[in-house]
Amino acid sequence: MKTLTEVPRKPRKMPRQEPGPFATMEELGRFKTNLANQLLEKSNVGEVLKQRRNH
Amino acid sequence: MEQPHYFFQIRKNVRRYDFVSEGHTRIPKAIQFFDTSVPDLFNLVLGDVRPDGQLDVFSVSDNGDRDKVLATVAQVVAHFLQENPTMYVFFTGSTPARTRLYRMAVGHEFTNLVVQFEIMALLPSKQLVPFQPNLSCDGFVISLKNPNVTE
Repeated sequence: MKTLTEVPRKPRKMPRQEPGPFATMEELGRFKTNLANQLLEKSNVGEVLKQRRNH
Repeated sequence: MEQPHYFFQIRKNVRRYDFVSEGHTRIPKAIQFFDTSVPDLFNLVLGDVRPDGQLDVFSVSDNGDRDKVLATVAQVVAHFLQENPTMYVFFTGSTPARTRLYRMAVGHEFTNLVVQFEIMALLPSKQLVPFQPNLSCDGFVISLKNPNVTE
């Protein structure tokens, strides 16, 4: 008779998807604003807003 | 926009607004506007204040009061832009998944939001275009449609 051997399950890795936590709002702000500046870099946002101001 | 929203406290000197989400649990939340690399464009930063005083990434959907929280954020943005009518507000999620969540939330409330705001979307191609629900984007730029109209 065959016996089933129990294979120990690997603990499921649940990496934290979100950054943080942050000690202060300023620290969170620095993180989020770096992210924003990376997205804004080489974009046409500055140009579009400048044109809108001139209208 | 007259949707129910939470009362918020203002600290003008640091451009910070605080309110408390009262859904399933009580979650203090903070919103602060930070300078970006683009002139006149401020980054909207949202945080949940944890019981230990640390700040976590803002959540709009986990406390059962998403619409009221979003309406509060809209009121805060309106207040900030009324105070600074020539400025623009940028916001994005801290992860692509969270940006998608914000996009869905903005899309869900779009008809209410466009009454008061002009909303633009920053595409992955780095182009800024008028926001459309279901349009994949990396961030949002908001301005007041008419700076003279108050809530």
